[in-house]
Amino acid sequence: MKKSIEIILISLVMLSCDSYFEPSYTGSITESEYYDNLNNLRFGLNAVYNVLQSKDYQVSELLFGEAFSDNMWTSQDVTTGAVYDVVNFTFSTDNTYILRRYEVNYSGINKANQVIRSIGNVKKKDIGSTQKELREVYGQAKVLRALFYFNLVRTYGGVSLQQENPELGKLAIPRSTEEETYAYIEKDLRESLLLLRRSRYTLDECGQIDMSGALGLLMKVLLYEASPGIRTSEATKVRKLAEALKIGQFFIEGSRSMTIRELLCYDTDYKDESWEDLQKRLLVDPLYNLDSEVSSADIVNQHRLIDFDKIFRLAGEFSEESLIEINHYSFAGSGSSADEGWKLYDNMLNGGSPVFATCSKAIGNLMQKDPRKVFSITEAQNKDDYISQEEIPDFTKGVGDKLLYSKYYVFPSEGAHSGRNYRIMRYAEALLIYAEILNSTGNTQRAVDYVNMVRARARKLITDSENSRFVTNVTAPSFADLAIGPTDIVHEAILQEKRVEMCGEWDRWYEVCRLDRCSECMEAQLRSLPVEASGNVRIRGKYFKKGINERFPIPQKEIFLSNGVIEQNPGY
Amino acid sequence: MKRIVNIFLSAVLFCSCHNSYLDEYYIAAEASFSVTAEDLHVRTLESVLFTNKGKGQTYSIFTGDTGHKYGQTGNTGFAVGSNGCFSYSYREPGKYTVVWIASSVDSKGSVISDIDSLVLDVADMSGGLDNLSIYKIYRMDDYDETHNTYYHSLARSIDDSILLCPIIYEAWRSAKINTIKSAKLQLKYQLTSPSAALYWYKRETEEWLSLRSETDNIFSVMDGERIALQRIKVVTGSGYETYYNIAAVMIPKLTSYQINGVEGEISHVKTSYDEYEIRLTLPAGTDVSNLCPEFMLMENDANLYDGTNAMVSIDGIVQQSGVSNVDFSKGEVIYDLHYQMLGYADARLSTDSKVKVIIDLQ
Amino acid sequence: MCGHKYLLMRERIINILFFLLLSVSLFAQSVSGTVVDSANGEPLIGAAVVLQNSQNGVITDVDGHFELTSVPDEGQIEVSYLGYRTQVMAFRSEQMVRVALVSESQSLDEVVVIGYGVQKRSDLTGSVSSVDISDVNNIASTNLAQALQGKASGVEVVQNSGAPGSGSSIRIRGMGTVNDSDPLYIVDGTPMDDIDNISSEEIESIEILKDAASAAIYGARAANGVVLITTKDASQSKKKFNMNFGASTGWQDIIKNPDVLSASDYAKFYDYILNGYNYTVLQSDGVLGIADFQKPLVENANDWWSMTTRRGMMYKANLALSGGDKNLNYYVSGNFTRQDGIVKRSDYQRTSFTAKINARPVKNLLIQALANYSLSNQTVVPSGSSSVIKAAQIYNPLTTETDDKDAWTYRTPTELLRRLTYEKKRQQFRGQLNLSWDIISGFTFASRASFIANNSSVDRMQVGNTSELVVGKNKYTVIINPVSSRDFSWDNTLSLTILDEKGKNALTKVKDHNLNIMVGQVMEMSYSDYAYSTGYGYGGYDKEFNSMDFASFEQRASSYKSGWNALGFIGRLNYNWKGRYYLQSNFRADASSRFSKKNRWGFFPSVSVGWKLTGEEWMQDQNVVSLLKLRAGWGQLGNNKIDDLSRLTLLKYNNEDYIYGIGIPGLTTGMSVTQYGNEDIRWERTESWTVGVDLNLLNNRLTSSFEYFVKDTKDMLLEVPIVYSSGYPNTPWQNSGSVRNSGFEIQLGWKDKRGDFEYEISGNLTHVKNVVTSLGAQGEPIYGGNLSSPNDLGYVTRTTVGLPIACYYGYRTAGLMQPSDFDADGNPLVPVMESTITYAPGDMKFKDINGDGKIDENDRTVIGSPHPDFYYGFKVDMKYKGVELSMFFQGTHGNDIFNVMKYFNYSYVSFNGSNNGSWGGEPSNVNRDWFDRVYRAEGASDYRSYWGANVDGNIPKPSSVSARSKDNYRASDFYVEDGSYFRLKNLQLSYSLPQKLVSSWKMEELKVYFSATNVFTITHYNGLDPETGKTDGTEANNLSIGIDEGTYPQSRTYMFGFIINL
Repeated sequence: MKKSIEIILISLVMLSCDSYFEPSYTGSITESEYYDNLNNLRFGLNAVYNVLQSKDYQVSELLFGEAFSDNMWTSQDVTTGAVYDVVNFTFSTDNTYILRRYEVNYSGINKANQVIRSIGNVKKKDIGSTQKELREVYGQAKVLRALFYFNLVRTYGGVSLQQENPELGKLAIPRSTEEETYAYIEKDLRESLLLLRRSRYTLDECGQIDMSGALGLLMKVLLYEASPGIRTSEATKVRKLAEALKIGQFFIEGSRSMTIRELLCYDTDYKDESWEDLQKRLLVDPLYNLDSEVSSADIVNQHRLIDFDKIFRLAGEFSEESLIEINHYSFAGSGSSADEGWKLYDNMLNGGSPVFATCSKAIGNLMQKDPRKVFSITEAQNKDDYISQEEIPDFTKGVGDKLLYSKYYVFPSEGAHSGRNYRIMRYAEALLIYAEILNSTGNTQRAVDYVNMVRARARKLITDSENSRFVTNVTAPSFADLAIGPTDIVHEAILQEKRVEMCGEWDRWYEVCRLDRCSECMEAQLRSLPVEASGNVRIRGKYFKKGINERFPIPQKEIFLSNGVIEQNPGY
Repeated sequence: MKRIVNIFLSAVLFCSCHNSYLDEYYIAAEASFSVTAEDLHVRTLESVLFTNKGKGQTYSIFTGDTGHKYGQTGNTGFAVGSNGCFSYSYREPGKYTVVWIASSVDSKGSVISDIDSLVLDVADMSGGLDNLSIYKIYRMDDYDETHNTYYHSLARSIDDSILLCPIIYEAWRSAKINTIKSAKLQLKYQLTSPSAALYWYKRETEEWLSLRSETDNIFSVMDGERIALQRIKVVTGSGYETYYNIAAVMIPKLTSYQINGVEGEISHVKTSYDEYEIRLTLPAGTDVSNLCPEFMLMENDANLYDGTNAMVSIDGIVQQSGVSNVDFSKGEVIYDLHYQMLGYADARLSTDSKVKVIIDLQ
Repeated sequence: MCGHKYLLMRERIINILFFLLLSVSLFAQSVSGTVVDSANGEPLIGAAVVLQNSQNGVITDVDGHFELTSVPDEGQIEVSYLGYRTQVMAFRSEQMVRVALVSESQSLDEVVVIGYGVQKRSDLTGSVSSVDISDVNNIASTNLAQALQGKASGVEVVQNSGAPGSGSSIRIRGMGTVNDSDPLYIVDGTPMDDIDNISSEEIESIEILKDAASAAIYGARAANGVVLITTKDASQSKKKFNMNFGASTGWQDIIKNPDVLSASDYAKFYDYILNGYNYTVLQSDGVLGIADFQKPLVENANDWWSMTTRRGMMYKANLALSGGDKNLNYYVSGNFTRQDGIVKRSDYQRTSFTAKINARPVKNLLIQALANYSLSNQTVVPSGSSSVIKAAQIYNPLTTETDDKDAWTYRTPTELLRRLTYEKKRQQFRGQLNLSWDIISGFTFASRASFIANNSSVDRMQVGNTSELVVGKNKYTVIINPVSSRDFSWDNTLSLTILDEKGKNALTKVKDHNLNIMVGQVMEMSYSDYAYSTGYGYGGYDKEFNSMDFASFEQRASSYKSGWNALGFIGRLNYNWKGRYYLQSNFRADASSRFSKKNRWGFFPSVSVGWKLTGEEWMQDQNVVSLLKLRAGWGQLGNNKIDDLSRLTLLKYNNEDYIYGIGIPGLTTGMSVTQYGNEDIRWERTESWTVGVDLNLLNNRLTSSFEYFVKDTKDMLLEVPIVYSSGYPNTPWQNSGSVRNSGFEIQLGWKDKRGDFEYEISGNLTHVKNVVTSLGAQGEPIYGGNLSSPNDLGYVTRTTVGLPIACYYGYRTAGLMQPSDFDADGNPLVPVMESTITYAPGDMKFKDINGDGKIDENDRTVIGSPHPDFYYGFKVDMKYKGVELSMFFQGTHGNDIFNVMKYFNYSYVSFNGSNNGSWGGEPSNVNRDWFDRVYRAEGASDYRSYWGANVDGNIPKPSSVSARSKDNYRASDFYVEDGSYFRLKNLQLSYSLPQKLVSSWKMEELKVYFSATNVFTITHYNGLDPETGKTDGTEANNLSIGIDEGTYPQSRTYMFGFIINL
């Protein structure tokens, strides 16, 4: 009885004020209350990394990055379904894998935006000395957002740029052009350079992206903007090539330091934002100004090429060669129910997966006399390539050219399959990107030097193959350096070097697309279709529509739901 | 027993009329649609939008190309989205009958449909050529001793019908390794439209021969002993023809250079096709300020050079072999060579190259 | 106690003897008088005048005069006349008596509860249906809502399942929204969301406010209609001590057994599927018989249905002690009910206690206090696709219950039952305080405050493997799910009444005008606390393992609190002029914490007018029409049935962790927004208008009312799909849909009395047409009824614009493929589904709806609707001298049922629906007529040809490839059946012992009765029960109704009981 009187009194008091209408609840918390301290912002960033760990994201990168390039055949080439339609370009605009790619990347952008828009309302008093860590979280959120948009623009062309503070009524945003989308990506990456940690993360902190990761990705984006296959104006291509050269000199050669003005291209890209506002927005230390220098000394020697056979092994995780790497670990059997494992193993190296990708003879022949072959590709039959207990199970009986990518394979002595980390960018790729930039800007000799650095690392495999823990011998007697020659010949040589070094790392189709050689690549596949043991005939390349299929269609549901605001790519 | 149940049921339940809500939902099917191609002409690979103008519950469309012809067994159509729009693009040119079907299901469950159709004329107008090159002309052993690096001549378009292919002089001179004089060359090209094909006009037999990229080794730039403009045409699936001229122009090279009886050593700059270097060592004490070099351009081959269609100059001043004097005192001298295709008045069919002469004294 | 009773009995017998002696001696005198109608003074011809407690009676002559001879000098006479209320008068012999009988129509002026007050029935202008309590009481059901079925027009009640303790879904005037459309219950003024814990014996009256005009007073929660329930109390009691004791017992039987193959036919069916001799052999006389070595197995095969079902006993008891007078009275009652379901192990038990005290310390101040406690315990047998009930119908009869090692065979129906522990407990305490104070006559202040505490908990233990012999392997899962909620509500009202002279307790008396104005404030606070924990463990079977301490593997627990507060202001004006012209207007302003600041307040007006023609002068002189009233009403209502926090943008833990470092990395949590709210959501608004005519004829012997109504729901709350580029993890709620329900209601009743024989026939019929008029800008259809197993039929209901909510959605079949459908080399000429398996005659043929030459998703269309064209109910009551027979019929017409059981009854799948096309595992049993409906090609020579060709069979031929049989049984109109039914819902025969005998035992009434429910059902539907509500767990989901997944069938009950009043 006493309790009800008490309730009556409380309610009388509350009747008047609004708090009466704020219900009390537990088990969930509003966004403004949650993101008001640094720790919770870190948890927000973790949710963004978690998207990169997800199977949806990684299958989508495998499928749209390399699966239907001339580097791979898949068992789905001949079995009807959504993947069959993607790899054979017989898809309709409501294909589920095209939609899932669109969904998973925008989900990542949404989570990154949550962190970015909440940086401002972290209470000043509790930042104190950790302003540095807050900047690092802010920088990483920007790099990841840039990466998600980079995935979208490489597949769909120009896409809608979501607001940082979305409103329910105005969610359908018209698509930006391809050039505007690349400019948005470039701006995020350049701004993250002022925020990210300059040095590499210590061994118990790694799994995060540092300044070198952002510089590598920025150089790659600038090269894309300068490439023939990307819809940017000729003037933009020339300007981007020059900027790519500057970034390369700063990041790879360390031969120039750059002012903040240069790093941000402040004069051209910040017409409507004063330096004071920018300083406040990017939490720049007040003692810096536009012309203060960022020296390249503590950047240039952060990374080097390690032994090729160690890159993808457990020992090679977060090595000096790794620029952007996503952490995975198998907690199986340790009682914890956290699932941080790498779920793609089943896809890459065992039959029962949505996209079972095997290696094509084209790349196999290309690497015939290349020491890296045995560490990248395996003929399932010749077991003698590997010391006894380490051989790769024989999966490829009936698929394609019966070759297998072994980079992401975990040898039995290395523990659980799902402990494998997912490498997004390596220093070797940065070197080859820089080589292409040098060659395109007339420095053919220095370009050839960088290519030969990568080939020298590969040549080491021949000399010290005896003490390799996994491989019996490396059969590549002569592996010469690249000789200097006319720029177009050197250009082709650099591209082939990248194709060999990076095969099986889900980047080949993006390369072919930026070089505007999609139909050429498709015709090459049409001429070399392997017949399946099951007798089903491949039709890869038969239905590729030149001029249209270089960009995938925006999912039909998205067009319909946007009520005409978002238009479809031409030809669909 | 069952029959009694039915009689009783229907008697009591005012005759079991079929579901009434379906009657109102039923719309008599009436097929009519519009297409965004004015007077029904459209190009290949251009996207066409079909929009519903009629009534019905569901719509489908037969686009009329292979596998989607209305009425043919085994052929299927496409379902039209719930917003009544369907966009499509045709790969191959031709006349296609597009059939639009509107259908409704009446309350008794039978499908009532109506058909509307039109004929779409798809033409393949894009006879365009992308990145044509005369492929694998000359094996550049001096560059790559593994013998698998070839010189390809990338075409540069002078205007929308003339393509200039610079050829390095070595490809002309050494007859034995498939030079352009004798060997059957091949073209590597990309056509903008999938249904098009490329033909080359062979003067000797006056016939247009089909020339597939990187496969048919029958192309030649020669007309008898001389290089001549070659005519090619691109014919699309719908018979639309576009003509091009290919001009193979040699990159000029000084094939001999001597001063005071001392022969210069001529070599190719590794990183480019139109830069050469000549080195001579003259006896000590020679006055280098006023030397008179004698040189020969492309071995004065009459099939290439008739004395007028090439010009050797330094800083714009024409040089004549054995006549003009050159001052080497300030170091190396750079010759500008300009060559225009023999037998053709069009000044644009020309190429340039640079020769750097360096003189050492013993 | 019993000792005392004995004394009482003896004393009573002595009284009777004395009284008889007294009456005999006084017979010489006589009494005479006239009987007139109290309203207009007219003499009543043929009124019966009887000396009380005797057979001595006479009827009045043509001018209403009577004379009764041989009566004692004083005593009591009883005067009764049909259509009038019987009256008892004292008399003294030789004295003229004038009897004025009050006409039954006056009884129309009985008071009806209309929410925050009462009103005379004849003054009503909104559509309010009253439910006759006696009908409700004799339905032998534990659930009050179920007893309302068919009792009031416009109220469609569908019993969710026959399981004891299962609820019902009620739709008043059609389904107003795709969200939760259950009505609001008001019990003695306290708003409640469900009335499962209230027993029908405690009910005094039930009114249902159906249209906006009458329900607007409850504004924000009344969109789906309001059910006003008033529980009994002792305010009318005359004596110090009344006792009402009723008890009944009975049992339930199965109405319809599954019509499956016998064991020997199943053996043939098994061989038919495998197309070879296993169980059968072709005997010498050419007849197919059971092979000898199989005979023992076939002879003692198991009849699983009868092994899992039983006759379920039912017990009900209700004791109510009350007493006191107008100024101080008490009412104490206890109620017990227990029902054992017709499926073993399923039962339901509920005990409830109520205590009420009403006191009038001062003449104009009434204080009422109420406390009610109820405890219910239900043992649930899961129904639906992988449940005991379905298995019992179709399990393979040749499987033995235990294998040779005496271990239970896995997943047989009896084994499923054996390892089941699934208890649902629910406690409810309701405390309430009412205060009404007539400050001055006609100006009263009333205040009501109530507090409800609900504690429910699910206690479930699923034991995996069966065999106790193999310890360590038998895994069990424990689920504990306690939910508790507290609701507090408090409302105060002030009402001012001005009445015509005849009315009493009015502020002032004004000629001809009657006015009542009421204003008030309402407030509700509610919060609830959910917890859920589960884990699994190994080791055994005993009930002691049913605890989280043992189930320690992968323990997962989650808990959260939530709540909402609401505040509102109400006003009502009631006016009538000379009892002829009526006007009523309600107004309510409501605010709820479920809406953001800018949409917090909702305003809900309503107005209704009535014209009682029988009040006009020119109607007075005829007595054919006893009541003719036209009425019309318009109003707006709100519905806030969304979850409490859908306006807020919230983060929840959704295991988005990440790890830092190499070697054994450090695990850190990840958090992101899991629900984007929508600040702009506001009330779902229902606007309805009604036009009605009430017509009573022949002295109210014929009562009727006709109503036409249109009910539009606007701003329906929908999860409107948004663009994928938003990256939102959820689709926020938006107000954007609208639904229209329109239709008419007819209510007819005829009641007459021929001497002692009284009879009544009354019924109602309702037609409702439900159409979705908009689903947001793009009109994106909403899919529901996702049947993942068996044969993953997928979404089988779709809600689109222009059609009723949740219509069935699937392919349309066109019979089976015939040889003529194939060309020379076997390719199909008709459109088919894309499949790598070749087609053959006997496979299902589907209609290519959109004509694109192939069968795919786009050929799915609407194939049926769960909504009836009309539903009706009518009762026939006959009473003759204490014996009363009442029969109640009820039914629906025009609704379809999606019979998923047909998949099991006519295909050849294993028990859990997995398709064993490759003949692995034995097929489950099929319907008796399977052999003569399955397709068999001409000229076959295999084992199956023994049955001869059956080219026009409509069941696809069995295929050894599971993908082919999966395509044949896709969701299509193969599953849709007509669900109309006509049912004698209830039959009750009761006998009340004569008053004389009963009062001699110091009792007021003693009645014994026999009642039977679901006596017979006429329907085309060949599932077990045409009344298919919703599978448990999806009660609030309006998008999957009328789907029979093997739900727990209803049963026929027989009850014997008695009621004693003293």
